[in-house]
Amino acid sequence: MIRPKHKPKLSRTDALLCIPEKNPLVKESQLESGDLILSCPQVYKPFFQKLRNLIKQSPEQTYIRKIELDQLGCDVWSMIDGGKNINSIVREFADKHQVHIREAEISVTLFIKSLGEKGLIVIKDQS
Amino acid sequence: MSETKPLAWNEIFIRIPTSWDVDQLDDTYLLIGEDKSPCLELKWAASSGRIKPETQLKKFVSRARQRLGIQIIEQSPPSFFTPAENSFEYFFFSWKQEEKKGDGVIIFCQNCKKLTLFRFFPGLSLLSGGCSSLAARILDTFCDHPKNKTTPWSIFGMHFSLPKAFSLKNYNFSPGCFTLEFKQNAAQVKIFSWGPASFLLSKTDLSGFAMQRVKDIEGLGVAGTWDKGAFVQWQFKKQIFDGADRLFLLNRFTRYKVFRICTDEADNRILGILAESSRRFETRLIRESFIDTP
Repeated sequence: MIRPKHKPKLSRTDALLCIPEKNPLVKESQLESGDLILSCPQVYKPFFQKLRNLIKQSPEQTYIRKIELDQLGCDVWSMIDGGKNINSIVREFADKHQVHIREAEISVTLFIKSLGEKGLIVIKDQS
Repeated sequence: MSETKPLAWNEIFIRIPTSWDVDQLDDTYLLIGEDKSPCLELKWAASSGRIKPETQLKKFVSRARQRLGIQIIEQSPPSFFTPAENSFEYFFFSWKQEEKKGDGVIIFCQNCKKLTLFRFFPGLSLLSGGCSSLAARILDTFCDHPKNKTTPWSIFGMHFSLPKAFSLKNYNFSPGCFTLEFKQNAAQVKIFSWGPASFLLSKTDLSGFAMQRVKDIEGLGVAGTWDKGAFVQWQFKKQIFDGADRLFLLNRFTRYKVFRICTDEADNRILGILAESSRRFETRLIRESFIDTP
């Protein structure tokens, strides 16, 4: 039986030194309320692609995923420039919104993680 | 220490430099660091009283060696050291783990029978640093039990105090909301901290925000101001049906609740305290919990 290889977990220190970078395929559109809509092409998972083929849907293998960011999300998104690491973004967020550094760290790291899971950003290793 | 701040968690109280903060915690453990480096580790436990502190110290040394790979060497008290409290007994040690080494001390309190371990990381010398060293000055501020009727709590920008009979039951640090739950017999208290207040209140007022976050609020809130901002307070009861609180046996299911939400404009946060009990209780507890800052 082949066992899946477990990826080594990053320590908290190493994770904060990672540099997030925006996916170049993401398109931004601003709403009147100030919120931001991010659109990004996503590939259908193989199971859903087979299902689409069975019900004879269009042969396209991608769809556009849209995510709306509120003011706090827009602020973090604007701080991601491919040069700042996550620790710098956390500090900048804490200074701008006058929140406790740990509060900022919890919010920003979870938000960046969700952006990564949705394919909106990639994480560069600090090296 | 030029700039310090209080750190109070589960009956442990110390003052630490403002640049330090808690990196990890659980009920009886704190790891405090600066930027990405650990500075101080605290671990405490109640001693049963039957086992002598010396015996527990020997057990600790052997456990540290076996489980954590840390070598502990007992040291004599430094000549400059004077105990901050007469009820404290001190056991000084130096530790070594791979290439790192440092100093530490275990403190046994004869009043509350608590054993507390301090482990200072490299860069903070306790044994050779002198009485004005940062480690020694932090140790001077240490206290392991409340000195009056209330227990101070000070963590992640939250500062409040509660009657010492309330013990910590649960805590949760989620994005935008920190929650601590306390219990004393049938009474429960929940402390909330939401931030940033400027964003959370940009589209609603304090009452509206409270209704969104705490679902079962009833009745009219009383609004006012306190020394850090505005507050709104509700007092209501939850019963099986109207009038059940006046019936024998069914009145035990009635829960009396008080919820107070207030803004802290200086820290840009919203604080909340929700207390419930099977009996009516003094709302002074609610009002004064945020006023006593450690």
